[in-house]
Amino acid sequence: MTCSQPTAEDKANHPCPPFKLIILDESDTMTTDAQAALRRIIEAHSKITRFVLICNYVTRIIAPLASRCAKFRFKALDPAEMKARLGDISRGEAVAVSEEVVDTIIETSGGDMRRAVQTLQSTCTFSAEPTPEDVYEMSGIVPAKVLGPVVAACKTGTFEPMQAAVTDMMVSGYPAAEVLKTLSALVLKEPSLRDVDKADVSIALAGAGKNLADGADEELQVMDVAAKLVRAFRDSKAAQAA
Amino acid sequence: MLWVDQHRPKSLAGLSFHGPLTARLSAMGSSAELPHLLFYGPTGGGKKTRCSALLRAVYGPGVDKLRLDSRSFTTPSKRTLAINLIASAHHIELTPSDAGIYDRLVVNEVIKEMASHQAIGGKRGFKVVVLNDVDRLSKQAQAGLRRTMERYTSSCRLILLCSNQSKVIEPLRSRCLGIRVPAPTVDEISSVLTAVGEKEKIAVPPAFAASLARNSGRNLRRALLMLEAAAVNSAALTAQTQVVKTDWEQYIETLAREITQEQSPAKLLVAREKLYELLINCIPATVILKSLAFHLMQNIDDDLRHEIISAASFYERRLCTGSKEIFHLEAFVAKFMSEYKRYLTNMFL
Repeated sequence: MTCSQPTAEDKANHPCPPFKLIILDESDTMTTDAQAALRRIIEAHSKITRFVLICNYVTRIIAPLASRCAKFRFKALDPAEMKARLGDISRGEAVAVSEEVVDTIIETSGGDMRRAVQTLQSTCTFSAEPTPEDVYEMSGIVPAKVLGPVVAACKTGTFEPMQAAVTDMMVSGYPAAEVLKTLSALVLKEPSLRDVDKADVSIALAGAGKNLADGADEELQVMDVAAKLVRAFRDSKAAQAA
Repeated sequence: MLWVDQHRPKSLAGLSFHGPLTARLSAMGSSAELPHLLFYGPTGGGKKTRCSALLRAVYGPGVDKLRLDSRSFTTPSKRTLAINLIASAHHIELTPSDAGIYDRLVVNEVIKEMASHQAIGGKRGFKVVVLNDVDRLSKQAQAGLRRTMERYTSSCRLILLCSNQSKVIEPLRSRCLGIRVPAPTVDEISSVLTAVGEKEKIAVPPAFAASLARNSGRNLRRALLMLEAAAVNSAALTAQTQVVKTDWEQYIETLAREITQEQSPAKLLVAREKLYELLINCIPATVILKSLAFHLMQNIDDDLRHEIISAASFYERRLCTGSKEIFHLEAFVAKFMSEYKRYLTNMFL
């Protein structure tokens, strides 16, 4: 339907509501002052205007503002739905992508459709027959096998092999923040670690993440976390033996 | 001319390692579109070489006709600052972090100026701005870049180069196609060294090439410079030829040795002088702290190593957020001394 000059049919089927809409995108980045000011405005003009706030984190919208709105929660997309959509797109663009590649794209996107479509496009532009490795490369995610040598070295429970493995991995240029993410997933899945040691390593991971955001050196931070992991493996082993 | 510059490959076909990456870049060079790019990876891995080879694939030999421009900018507070740019008819290259706190102004002005002129004489409708060291740009400049990038996307593409990707803000990263350039392996460096040796008519023994590659920390530029230095110093290279370390590395090694020998306030004063000496010779504080920590960790027990690495990462972070470097370097040295001393005393208890 056209909004400015509705036809008779439109008027019958979609009667124009008696209010205007104002959409505020990324409203969680608004300052609290701005949000507080908005509170009055919403109330004063509620007869003729409705506000739609779009945000990533509802916790960053001040409570008085959030309580004035009806909330709709959008969760990460279902993998099966994403798969269907990516299939539609690849058929529409006439590119051949294997099932394995689509699965990898969905895995790396973490439920983010825009990211998935972008990865699909760049992967298909730069290689005629995309492989899962291409997808990892394009999405900038660190595959678990890159960290294999580091985890294996940490399992020895000694410092030197770990230091060598970390230095070796860091020169391959993977961004440290992504390395920590993958490492975190690996540590959580590791069967030979006690829960308390996993917790220790996770605390170290969180600290290192913060330090990296402050601009600290990547190699030192990753090595610090790996050193914690060395001790975690050593302690877990000792506890099991006892 | 240094060998590093003289033997730098000019085209994508001449690149000697990272085959799959080269194939991807060639596909990019021949396609009509070019996304914004972010090259990241350790230094001496060939980011810059790949970037200029890609530009050559996109625009042809025209990009090799470079001129050096000195441009001056006026800040809002009426100060003028001069920045050096390298430019060709198709692209412009600059290191915006040279401008210090005015980096945002420089980035915006240059891109605006680029975008206001039509691209000339090329088959492409866009020009390219290459920004070096984006990880050293201030957060404000990076945020400013993101708006400028979107506004002028029709006439201007950005290629960003950085070594530490975590210092680039996320919105900027997601606007670019990230291209990871890993450091070459020891074998790859050795074969490049041998090839350069052949061109220079110098026999490079494989064992010596491998030891250079290892000592360079898999940094090709460094390896080539070390090869040239070694070739100048000795008449013929053999497998036994010593790899010469740089002055500052030897200096840090001495410092590390001294503070493991004696731990006292007097020694801390000596260490302070040495640290100052390194700082006034323009060795970055992070590099000093890192290489000092790695030297200290070489000959100590595992338990102590854990303490040292966590101290190093702790003080290095403070270095980045703080303003005066010497405090944190000294604090690290003091921390090492106390930990080391405690460890020694506990051993005899």
